[in-house]
Amino acid sequence: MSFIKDIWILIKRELGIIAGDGSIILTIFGAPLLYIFLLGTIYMNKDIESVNMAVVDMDQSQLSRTYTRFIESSEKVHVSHSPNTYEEAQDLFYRFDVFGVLVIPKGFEKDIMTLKGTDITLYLNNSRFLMSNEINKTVQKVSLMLGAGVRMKYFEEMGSHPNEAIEMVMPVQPQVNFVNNIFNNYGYFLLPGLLFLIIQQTLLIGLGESVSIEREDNILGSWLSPNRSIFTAIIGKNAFYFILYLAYPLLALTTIFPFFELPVHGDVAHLSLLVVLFIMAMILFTNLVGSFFKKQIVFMEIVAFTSYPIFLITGYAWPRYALPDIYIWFSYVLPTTPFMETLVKLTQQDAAFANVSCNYAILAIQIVVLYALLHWRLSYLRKKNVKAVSASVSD
Amino acid sequence: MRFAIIHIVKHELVRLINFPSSRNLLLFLPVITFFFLSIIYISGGLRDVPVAIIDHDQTQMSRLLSRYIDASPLMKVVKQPDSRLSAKELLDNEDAYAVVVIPKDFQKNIIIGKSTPLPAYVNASSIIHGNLVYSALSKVAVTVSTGALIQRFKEQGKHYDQALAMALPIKVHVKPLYNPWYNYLYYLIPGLTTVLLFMIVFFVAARSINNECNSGAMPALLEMSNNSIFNIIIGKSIAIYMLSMSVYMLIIGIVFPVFGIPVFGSFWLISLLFSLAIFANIYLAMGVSAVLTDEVIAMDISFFYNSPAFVFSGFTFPIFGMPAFNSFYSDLIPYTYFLKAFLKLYQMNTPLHYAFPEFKALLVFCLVGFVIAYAALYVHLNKLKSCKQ
Repeated sequence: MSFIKDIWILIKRELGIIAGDGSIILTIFGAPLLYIFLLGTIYMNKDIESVNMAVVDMDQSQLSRTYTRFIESSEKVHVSHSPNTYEEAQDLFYRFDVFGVLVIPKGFEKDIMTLKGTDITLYLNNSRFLMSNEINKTVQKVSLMLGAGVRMKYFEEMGSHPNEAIEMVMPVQPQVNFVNNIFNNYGYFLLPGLLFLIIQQTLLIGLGESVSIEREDNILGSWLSPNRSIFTAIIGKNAFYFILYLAYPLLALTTIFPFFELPVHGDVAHLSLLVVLFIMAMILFTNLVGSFFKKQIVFMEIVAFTSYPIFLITGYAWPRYALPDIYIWFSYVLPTTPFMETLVKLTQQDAAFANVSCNYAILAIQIVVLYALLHWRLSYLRKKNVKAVSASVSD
Repeated sequence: MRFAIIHIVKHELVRLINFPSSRNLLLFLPVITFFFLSIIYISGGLRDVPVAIIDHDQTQMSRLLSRYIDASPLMKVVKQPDSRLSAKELLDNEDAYAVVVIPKDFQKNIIIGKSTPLPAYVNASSIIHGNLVYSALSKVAVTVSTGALIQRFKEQGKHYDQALAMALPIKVHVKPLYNPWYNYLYYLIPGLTTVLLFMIVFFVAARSINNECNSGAMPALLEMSNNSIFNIIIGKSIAIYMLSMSVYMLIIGIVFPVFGIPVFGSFWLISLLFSLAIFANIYLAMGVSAVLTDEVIAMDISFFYNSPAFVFSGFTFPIFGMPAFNSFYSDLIPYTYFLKAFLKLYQMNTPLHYAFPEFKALLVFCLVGFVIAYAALYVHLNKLKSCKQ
């Protein structure tokens, strides 16, 4: 039988397995699109607006009201409540109606105008960092701005020209420029990784289920038949998944990224090569892992819990230098690690190939090692299966 | 049979203990994943983010600024490269996550009272670095500015206190409550472990009905229950609850103490909340199990429903920042309510009545799940009887 014909037989066989299994159909056709829609749209607004905070204004002066208005006019914080006491504010805190409470003390205006300085207290609900960070940033900015205004007035009163006074109020002015995610927002940061994690996990579960079905339904013999090479068996079983899972990244990069206004820099050839290597490595990885399971449902149960650990050790959500060393080493067993790192560098940073070539090499090494391991594993399963068949025949 | 529910509980406990799938889910998986995840964040927070400084000034003051940056617990100066290197090159090579550029005449400008910019470039493809460096660098700049201003005001004859008050007229005392250490372990692990707990509970319960029918055990179960669907649901849910609470005890009694995660609220109130949330998940999953006889499909549905729970709960990204549709979807997941009440009771130590809205919502989930499970079993009663026959 020619190689091509044999591959075609295996592809048809695999399509039969898929068509007969609702779970695989749901996982490889339904889940990617459903998840991309559901999870992708969460971050459609990219960033948060109007984090609620309360201001307890005990001074009730013109300056304290101006100060509150400055906070209110900021981009991300909304002064939603103005309780009279801290106790009232605490009630709002406990209900999650506000995430920060600013207490402006009595004598605020007087102390500032008499150049005595004043202390204000900002209470933050730090159970969720994103909201408390925004409030903290805004209050600090507004306070510095108001302080600069006070000093400017002083310098002007001392006879400085307004232009000179502006120069003197803040000797060092930090200008933080965000590179690669220019608005430093959550959506740009998380979405690319999340979209590809969805693609990866659905491949892992769908294909893995199919591999475990081979043993569960006792059809291993028709896949790993002694008449065909292991190489042919691997290519034939996985060809459909390879094509399907090349289509998803293509859809992501050409349609979904632009839809969510995510940048896609980087050379097309480099990106394509990256995706091809990643999908190949993931397919081999999934075959290998799946071959150790005798039941489809057990595979699904276990692998369903891998999404968080995999995502968290790849260095995407939590920097690798902060991980324990053993995790860093372990993360390189997974194709996800070099892939995610390169994806970000290419799509967001438009990195030169030289800066990411090491990750291409890692993916290539993973493919070689995973193929060797899979070859060995499938040869072993084939031998075992042949023995079992001949034993049952002789019985 | 007078004690039908007790018999069902015993039957279900034996089934779960002997069933490899529930053994994996309730024993091995939580131990491995909870510890694995906790170790990721064992350092607590990010310290010493690698920063490079390109010093075009090379003066005493610019070197002082570099030392200030290095002294910040959040930043570590890893490189002070040749000033011909661009910030982009340094960021691209990942030599540093941020590059601070000290401009020429930095010292001179400060001395003559001229404002001088301090540009910094932060690789914000990881938002954690973006926020961290922004805040740390702002602090350093304020410190240096305040120092220079105090010096100037002192030269004008002001006392130190006066000079300080003029340099920093508004001092903001920030009191971060509930996790004042900005510790990521304390922030994320309670959320991650609890979301996995409920996923495990859901998975176990999602096979509690259909597996009985598929394995041919339903006739005996029906007989044991006095032909009462109510007894079956209650008995099974009590058994699953009992084993699920052991996973809860693993979280609260072992993982939290081992990793030093503080629990501020009352153990009994927290246990009450977990009990309610566990029952909500059990009944919803039993509803799935009663409707879908194919166990694999029931597991798929459980997976699709539960796996985005963490993201939809508003824990890392607030629900008010989501579009209306997503916000609506988050309302349909019990974990959203659990998390809110959990943070209130365990971290904020609020009085119980602040968690009443979430308790009510979880009760509604219990009721909805129970009714679905009951109705589906009722509709399939004939099928069950045929199983029995």
